[in-house]
Parts: sequence; structure tokens; C-alpha cells
Amino acid sequence: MTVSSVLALSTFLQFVAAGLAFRLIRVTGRRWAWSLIAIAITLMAVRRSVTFFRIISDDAALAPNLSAELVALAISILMVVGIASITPFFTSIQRSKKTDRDVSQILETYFESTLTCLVLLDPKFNFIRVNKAYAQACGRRIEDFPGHNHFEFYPSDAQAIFEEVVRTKKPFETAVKPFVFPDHPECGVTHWDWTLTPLLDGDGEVELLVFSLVDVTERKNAERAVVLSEERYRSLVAASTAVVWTADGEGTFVERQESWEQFTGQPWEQHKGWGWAEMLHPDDRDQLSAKWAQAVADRTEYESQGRVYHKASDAYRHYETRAIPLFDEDGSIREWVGTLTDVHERKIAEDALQASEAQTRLLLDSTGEAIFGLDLNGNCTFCNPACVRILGYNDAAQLLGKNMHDLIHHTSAEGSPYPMDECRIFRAFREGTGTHVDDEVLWRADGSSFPAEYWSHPIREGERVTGSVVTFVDITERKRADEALRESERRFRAMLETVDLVAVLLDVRGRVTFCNEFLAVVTGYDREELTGQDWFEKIVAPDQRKRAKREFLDNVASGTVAPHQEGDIITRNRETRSILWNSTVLRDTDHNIIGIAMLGVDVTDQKLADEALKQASVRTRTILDAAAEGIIAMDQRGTVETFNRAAERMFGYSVEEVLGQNIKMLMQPSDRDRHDAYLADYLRTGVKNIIGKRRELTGVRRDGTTFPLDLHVSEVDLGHRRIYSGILTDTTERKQAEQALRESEQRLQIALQSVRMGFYDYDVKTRSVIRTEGTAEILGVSYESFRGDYEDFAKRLHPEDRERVTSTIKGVLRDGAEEDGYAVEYRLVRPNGGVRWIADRSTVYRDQSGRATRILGTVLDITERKQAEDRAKMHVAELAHVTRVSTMGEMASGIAHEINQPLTAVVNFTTGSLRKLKAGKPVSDEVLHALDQASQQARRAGEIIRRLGVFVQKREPKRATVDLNDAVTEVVEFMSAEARREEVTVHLELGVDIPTVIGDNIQLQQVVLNLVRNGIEAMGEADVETRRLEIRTSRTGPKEVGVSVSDRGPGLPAGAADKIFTAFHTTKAEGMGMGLPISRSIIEAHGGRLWADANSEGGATFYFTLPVAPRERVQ
Amino acid sequence: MNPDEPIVHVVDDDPAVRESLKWMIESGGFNVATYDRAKVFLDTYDPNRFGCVVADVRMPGISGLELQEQLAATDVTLPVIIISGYGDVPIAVRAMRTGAVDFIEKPFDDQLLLTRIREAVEKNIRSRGIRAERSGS
Repeated sequence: MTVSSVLALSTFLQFVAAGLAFRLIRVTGRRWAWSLIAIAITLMAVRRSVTFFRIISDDAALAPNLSAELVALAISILMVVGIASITPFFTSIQRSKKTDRDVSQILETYFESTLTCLVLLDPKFNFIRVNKAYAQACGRRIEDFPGHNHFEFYPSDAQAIFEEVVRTKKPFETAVKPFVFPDHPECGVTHWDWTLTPLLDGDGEVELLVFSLVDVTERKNAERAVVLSEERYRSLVAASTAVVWTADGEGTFVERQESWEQFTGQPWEQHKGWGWAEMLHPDDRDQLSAKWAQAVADRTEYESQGRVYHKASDAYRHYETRAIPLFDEDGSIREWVGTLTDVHERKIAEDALQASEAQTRLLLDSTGEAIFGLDLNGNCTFCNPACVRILGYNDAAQLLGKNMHDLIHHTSAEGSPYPMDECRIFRAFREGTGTHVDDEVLWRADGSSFPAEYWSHPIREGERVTGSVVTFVDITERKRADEALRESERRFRAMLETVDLVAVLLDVRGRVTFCNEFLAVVTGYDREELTGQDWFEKIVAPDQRKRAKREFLDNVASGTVAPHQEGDIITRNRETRSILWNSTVLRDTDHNIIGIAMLGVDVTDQKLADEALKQASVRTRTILDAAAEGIIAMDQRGTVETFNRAAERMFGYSVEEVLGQNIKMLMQPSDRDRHDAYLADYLRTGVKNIIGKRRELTGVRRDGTTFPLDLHVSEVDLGHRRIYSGILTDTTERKQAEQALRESEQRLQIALQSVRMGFYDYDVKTRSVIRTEGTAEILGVSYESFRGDYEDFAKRLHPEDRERVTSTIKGVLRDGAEEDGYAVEYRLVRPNGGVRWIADRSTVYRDQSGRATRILGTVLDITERKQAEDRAKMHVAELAHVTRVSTMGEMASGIAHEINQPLTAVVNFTTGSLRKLKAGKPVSDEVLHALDQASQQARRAGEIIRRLGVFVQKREPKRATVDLNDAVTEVVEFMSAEARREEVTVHLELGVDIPTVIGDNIQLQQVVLNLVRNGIEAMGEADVETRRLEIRTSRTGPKEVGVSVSDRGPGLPAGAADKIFTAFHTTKAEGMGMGLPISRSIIEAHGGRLWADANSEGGATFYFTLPVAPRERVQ
Repeated sequence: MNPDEPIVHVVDDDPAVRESLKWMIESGGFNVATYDRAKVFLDTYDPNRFGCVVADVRMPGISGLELQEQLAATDVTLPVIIISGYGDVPIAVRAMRTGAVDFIEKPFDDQLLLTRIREAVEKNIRSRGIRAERSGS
């Protein structure tokens, strides 16, 4: 029994040995040797099993010998152990040393597995053999080829090339001399790169042709895409307001510039050479031409700003010009490529800001961001249209003055009441710190709510908080997008498991936290073996390990990753693979960096194609680089494919750092999320949320600083895929302008409040006030009851002022009126009956046809000023009266003489007549004439006394239209007797067409009288021949008339021309020295001026001017 | 007009006063000649006729007082009556000193003026008579 057991055991072991031997056949290359060994052992084992069964069936003849069986067992054990120990040896040989393997087998394997199409042809071009790749590419089976001629299947001009190769025995390469086979689009292959290499036999004759083809359809498509994209760029440029131009090395236009012609309307004959300069604004022309000539001479990039004539708008527009020289190999400039970018609107906006604070208000109103202001009670002080719209109201008035917590923030998202003292909006002015909240809801007018993100900033006046400014956005879309993003992330992970890309996530120390199955396949490690390991120690090639690890730690520290990092990894089999890595910094929801995700692709075979692609896009690149706007193209995943020079300048990254990276690296974290959401949304729904629209984003520069930018994204369908091009404009300056606007707005508010001034913006078309600040207060009505239209305003005007004010406004508003505004003062009647004086100053805006479109104006309550003015006028009137009385006193003797003359005549005529009548003479015509003369002279005396009475009477000043010529003539008549007595010749020169003035006739005559008297008196000591007083009236300006009184007296006291106007300064023995001061007061109260000048021929001239009366209405 | 009858020369720049004086003096029975300026009188009067001068003190050009002075400087001894406005007292004093016959303030009593004119004419006749006698002897 023991013997049979030993026999059984040894037999079993022999079977095991046979099995191992059979396995070695497969593992080693020596099939025959191992096959023989295996068969021999098998036969031996079979024979022994037969023996064993015989023993079992008690065939005594075969009684086993125990010792012999033990020897057999030992041999069997040795066989098993030997073969088993040899197996790993062969296995390791097979795995480690490729060179030890049969070269033909490698070739065979390569032949069948390579993606390169390989064809073996005989010298007559008959197919000997093709590989799978070729058969697939040609859409046939492998066995279809042998026995057929290549040109039977694919007739083409290439036959000549093939024949040439056979004749010359030299290989042909399309890389050296391109030849394109006719397309076979039905196979999906449209482009080949191919070589044909002859193999020579021992006699040096061509034995075999190796025909190798690489499908470069993808690359060609990409190249075509570059051309397409260039075309697209050109058409974009053509369609936009930008102008692209090229000039030769001398800076002259040598070919027709279509976009220039289109823009300026200047035909080629005129813009060629330096003719284009004619289209520059005349003020800029010399300077810009010189600058351009300098740039051409210096061979440097050219940048300038100026105005260029724009045909479509028939006006000069502000443009920014940039030009870049393209150099030849020899260093000479081949051509200049330049662009003009419209910066007109920005210029205008900046100018407008400086010109008018009110205009900049419009900018605020036009922003999409909702903005409102709060006072310390939480009541709304202002709100922009976006705010009104988002909250679902129709009019800002529905918000103004309302408590915003009660109105839009009264209830939490869960539906529970939100107490006002916990309000986080109000925290800004309660605690004086800005708040930022994104987990609450705001309530619309219709009772619905929306999730909102808001910022509340305190407004300070010095140290004091006076309220807050709140901006908010509706984040419904974002919330939804966040949800979609999480879903997309789940899918993305699933996808990572199926793609042929290596994916690995590393934590901040470089340890693997996740890797996909493909990585395990490539490296030969199990995923479990890699997880938790140091990636750099385990996988990265030793010569790159230190550098890679250092860069990784830098990246983690800075939060940025370099794009397209190429690196080598070592597989378990110690093979080196070259991987192009695309890495992304991973962040948690709080934006803390938690690691880096790397996605890799084997790039060894792609490098040549990449190089060619780069060269092809040089020109596109140059044009893109010349653009002043940043241009970024990306694929559907946001991977950057184009990044022009303007973008480099904007972001501080070089193009190499950005290409291949995700566009998100240029965004700030909040925008990244939003971007992901947009993408997720777009990829899921196809709804283009951002494409074709202009968006405002915040860009993040390489140094981490941020700047505002405008992004406009377009989609380009390249057929096999879509790319997205973004055009970016740095809006820092515009933002600064907007910021300045906000500040100025705040200043405006404060200013309006502090001066009790109102501001309004009136839309002429709708006849309604579209914006107003403080006017309701001035009108004495509440916002609700002021309808804000013109009729409502006119209704409130004082009846005496209504006609005047409405006709003034209508006059300014009529088409083509020259006035650019008006300034009127009027009275408004308040609902409570109170009357307020208002000063209203406005600016009228017109469209190009001269039609008035808007009025921006301010109203100021000037009631107090008016009252003060009235008091001042009364004061002047009283003083004037006192002075007149005093003047009359000074003139008493003269006046007495004046009255004496007619009285004397009366007495003489009457006494003479009486004597004649008493003497009995008849009542003759002579007597009657004398009596008539007497009565005339009596009237003359009466007239003098009447005028005197008028002059000294005390009365309220009356404002009426005064004809200056009449007034002056009357005074001169009054003074004629005195002038005669003083032997002064009075020369009166009245101007023709002197318009009337508004004023008090007596006061104005008082001034003239004063000047005439002074003039006469000044000449008291002069020679009789030179005593000449010249009085003139004239029109001194479009809205001004003047009177001058010129004497030949001693002139003005030296250096005291103005002293004479001060009270109680007098050169005369009589008089109180009030004449000139009161004259000046009177004239100034009438809105005029009074002054004196020395005459060149001696004496002095006194002048006064008065504003003409407002034009009488012309029917 | 009889050249032997006395004549009263009225010199006044104010036409109303001049004409009214003429009217009134004529009603007193005198011949009257009127002049609007002293210079006109000096250039045109007949020095050989008797009479007197009635002149306003204030006139453009040569005033009444200057007229009186100029006449006094000649051999012609025409008496001059100065008429003046109210309150010209300093002028009156000066007039009397320079030898004017009389000084009358406006408005004046017609009788007073006529009386003074008569006295002046008589004075003129007297002085002429004496002179004639002298020249005659």
C-alpha cells in the first residue's frame, strides 16, 4: 500500500511538472525544446499512471520495488522544483529585456498594433501585406489586399513618385516633398503623411517597398480651423468697429486697406502711401504722423490715441491705435500689422463725467447691478432702475422713503418672520462695517421671493455713518447651477474611469488620493498600491523627481499651476512614459487649496504635429497680438487655445503659462463657480447663457491682483467641434469712472441736501420728470402727490409768473433753438398757500437734429434771498430818495432861478398889459398875445415845480419798461438852464434802436441828473470855450445798453478813480458826497454797472450799463 | 423911431423874460431894443442915443456885470440896470461898486423898474448935457 502511495504521489508530481513545462512553452521563445520536454514528461507520467492502475488491480507481475519508487518520487520532486524555479527566470527575461527578444516578433507585434498604416509592396506595387491600421483606414479587410496592385485600388498621380523611388532606390517622404492623396472621406481619412522606403536585397536591387502612412486628418482639421479662425477673426474685425491695417516697412500703405476705406470712406487712391493721415483729426494729424514716423524709424511697437474720421457717423471718433512690426529673417521689417480700436464711448463717458455730474448719473442707472441706499432708519434714499426691476416694482417712487427691511426682507427663506433688529442689511450702518450675505432671500412686489446675494456698505460723512449703500444680485440661476455642477462632478468622476487618460488627484503633500483605472493600467500598479503613496517617489522619473516635487509644492502654495507640464513617469516595469499633464488646483468650498488634480495624455507621437501647427498660426497670432483687446479662444471645456498679447498684458501671464490651462485660472473663485455653472448648464441644455452677450467679470492677474473686465463670448462651429472666443476689455478705467461717479453721486446727494437744492431730469418726449432729487421738498408736496409731469409743474406756478416761465421753456425747447439752457426765477404756490421763490437753472440736451430731448436742471429755494434783495432794494430806494431831496437842496438856488425866470416873465406880461388897459388902450392883439405868453410862462413854472415834486416825493420804486433815450432827454432839458448859466455846451447823442430796460424811471433819471450835474460842476473852472458836456446812449452789447457822460473838467483824482464812489467822499463845498455811491447802488440794483474813466483829451467820462428788458414776444 | 427919444436896451438870454420886459417897459412909454447876448448889444448899439441898459446878470458869454464894466471903460455913459435872480446878494454888492446904476431882483415890481429906468435915462441925459456943454465950451 505504501509503495502504491509513493507511486501515486510521484505520478501526480510528474503531471505537475508536465503542466509547468507546457506553461514554459508559452512563456519562453524556445517552443520546440520545451514542447519536447513537456511531451516527454507527460508520456512518462502517463506510463506511470498505467502502472499505478495495474498495481491497483493487483497485477503482481508488476510488484513495485519500494526503493525504486522512492527514487522515482525524488526525481519527480526535482523535476517540479527545477521547472518551477526556471519559470520566473524566463518570465523576467521576457519582461525586462526587449533587446533579448526576437526582433521579428517585435516588428510583427508593432506591425499589427501600431496606429501607423504599414503596407509592404513588391517593386511592381502589388500588395504583399498590410496591417490592421491600414485595412481599417481603407475600410477593407486585411485579406482583401494581397495579390492586388496598389494603384488598381487607389489610382493616383503618386504612381510616378513610386516609380521614382524604385528607380532611384531613395526613400520618399511627404515631410520633404508634400503630396496629398485624393481624399477618401468615406473612410474618414482625408489627409495622409506618408513615406515610401525601398528595401534592397543582397544584389542591391529593390526587393520590397515599405509604404508607411500616418492619418493626419485631425491635424489638418486643426490647421484648417486655424485658417477658419483667422477668417473668423477677420470677419469679426470687419463687422466690428475695429479697423485692421497693414503697412510696409516704411510705414506706408502699399495695398488697399478695405476696413480703413469702409471706416473712413477714403478711397484707395487717397489713402495709399501716407494719404491716410488726411483722415486724422486736424488737431492730431501732425503729432500722430510724427509719432508713427518715429515708431517706424525705431522699429518698435506703436501705440497712440487720436481721432479718426468715421464716415458712417460723419464725425471724428476717438481711437486707440496699436501696430506691431513683423520681421523677416534678415531683421528687416516685412510689414506692420495694426489695429484701430474704438475708444470713443469711453472717452465720451470720461469727458461727460467731468462735464456733468448729472450725466454720469445715467451710467449708474444703466448698470445691471441693483443698487439702493438707506438712511439710518433703514428707509430707501435712492435706488437705480435695475433695483426697481429686479424687485418687481414699476417706479422708484414705490421704494423711496420705505423701510426696506419691511418691504423686501421681512421674512426668512424658511417662512419665519425676520425681526428687523437682526437684519443683516442694516448691520452696515448699525455697526459701521460692510456685510456680504448670500444665503438669504429678498421679496418681490408680487410677494414672491428669490435667493439673493447682497453687499451692504456703510456711507460715511467724516467719522459719522449716515446710511448704507446696498447692492444685490438675484442668484437663483447660480443656485441652480451649483446643483447642476455637483451632478456634473459625479458624472465626471464616472467618466474618468472610462477615458484613456491618466487621472490622479494629489493632496497638498503630493500623496495620491485618487487615481483612475487607466493610470493603473499604464503604470502596472494596482490602484490600492498607489493610493496614499507619495506620487513623486513612486511614479515620477528619478531625474525629474526633485524639480517636480518642488514645483508641485510651489503650485500648492501659490494656488496656480503651470499649463501643459510634460513629465516622465516610470512604470512598474521600469518603462519610461512621457506624459503631458494638465493640472488644476483643487479647492474646497471655502476656496482652500486641498490638492491638485492632474490629467495626462501620452504625447510622444504628437509633438511633430504640434510644431507644424504652431508655425501655421504665426500670422493669426500676429494679428491677434496686434489687437488692443484681449482675445482668448477656448474649447468646450474652457481649455485655453489662444491667448493674445493684449491678454498677456492684461493678466500678466505669458501665453505659454496659459495655453492648455482652463480659462478659470483667470477668474476669481466666485466667477469660477459661475463659469462652471454656465458650462454645465450649456452642456446639459444647450441654452447659451453667455454666448453673444457682454458680461462683466473680474479678472485675476498672475500676481493675484484683480481688475474688472468686459467679456464677450462668441461660438465658432468648426464642424467637428466648437470653440469659443472671448474678447476682453479691461474696464478698470471705466470702473474707476463709475466709482468716481458713485462718489460724485454721494457728494451730489449731500450737496443737494445741504443747500436745500433740488435736481430734476425731464424727458421732453414724455413730458415727464424721469428723475428727481429734493424737488418734492421744494415744491412742498410729497413724492406721491407730485405726478412729475410738466402740467403738474405749470399748475403750481404763481399766476403772475406762469406765462413768462412757460414761454421761456417753450422757447428753449423749440427745434433748433440756440439756447443750451435757461435760468428763470419764479414763484411756486405750495398746497398750503405759501409762496416760495425758486431759481431754476437748466441745461437742455439735443439730438443731432437739434431737437430737445432732455432737460437737466436744478431748483433752488431763493425765497430768503429774494426777501433780502427786496429789503436791499427798499433800502436803496430810501437812500435814493434822501439823496434826491438833498440834491434838490443843493440845487435850490439854481431851481429858484429856474422858477424865477417864468415868474418874472408872467409879472412883466401882466403888469405891462394892465398898464396899457388902464391907460384906456383897447384890448388889442398885442395885449392878448402878452396875456397868452404870461399864461404859458406860468405853466412853465408849474412844470418845473411838478418835476421837482416828483423828484423829491417819497414813493415805492416802480419797475416798468424805461426808454433810456426819453429818460436822458428829459434830464438834459431839466438841466439845460443850469448848463446855460454855467456856459456849458451840452451835446446829446442818442443811439438809434436802443432797447428798453426794466427799472424805476425816477431812480434812473436821478443817476443821469447826478452825472450831468457833476459834469457841469467839474467844468466850473475851465475855459468857457472848452466847457462841453457830451452825453451818449448806445447799445453796448447784445443784451446791454449804456449811457456815458463825458466832461472836460480836471479829470479824476489821481489813483482814486474808485474812491469817488464811496460815501461821503466829496470834492465839493456843498453836498453830502452821496451822489455817486447812491448812483452806483441804483445801477447795481438794476443789474447794471457804473464806473468812471479818465479821458485821453482831459476830463472824465462816467459810464453806466443796464441789461435790456427780456425780449418782447415776437408773434 | 425918433432918434432923439431915449431908448431902453434890454439884454437877456431868456426869451420869455426878454420879451416880457420889452412889453412891460414899452407899456411905460419907452422905446425898447432887445438883445439875447451882451456881445450883440455891444456890436450894434448906437452910442449917441440917450437911454439906459437893462441886463440880466447871468448870461452866457459876457455877463451883465462885464457888460457894465466894458461900457464904463468907454466914453459912452449909458447907465446899466442889473436884474438878477433871488439871493444874488454878493453879485449885487459887486455891481453897485463897479458903478451900475441899479440892481433889481426878480420878480420885480413894474413901477419900481419903470421908475429906475426913468431915473437912469434922466441921469444919462444930464451927463450928456454936461459933456455937451464941456465940449461946447
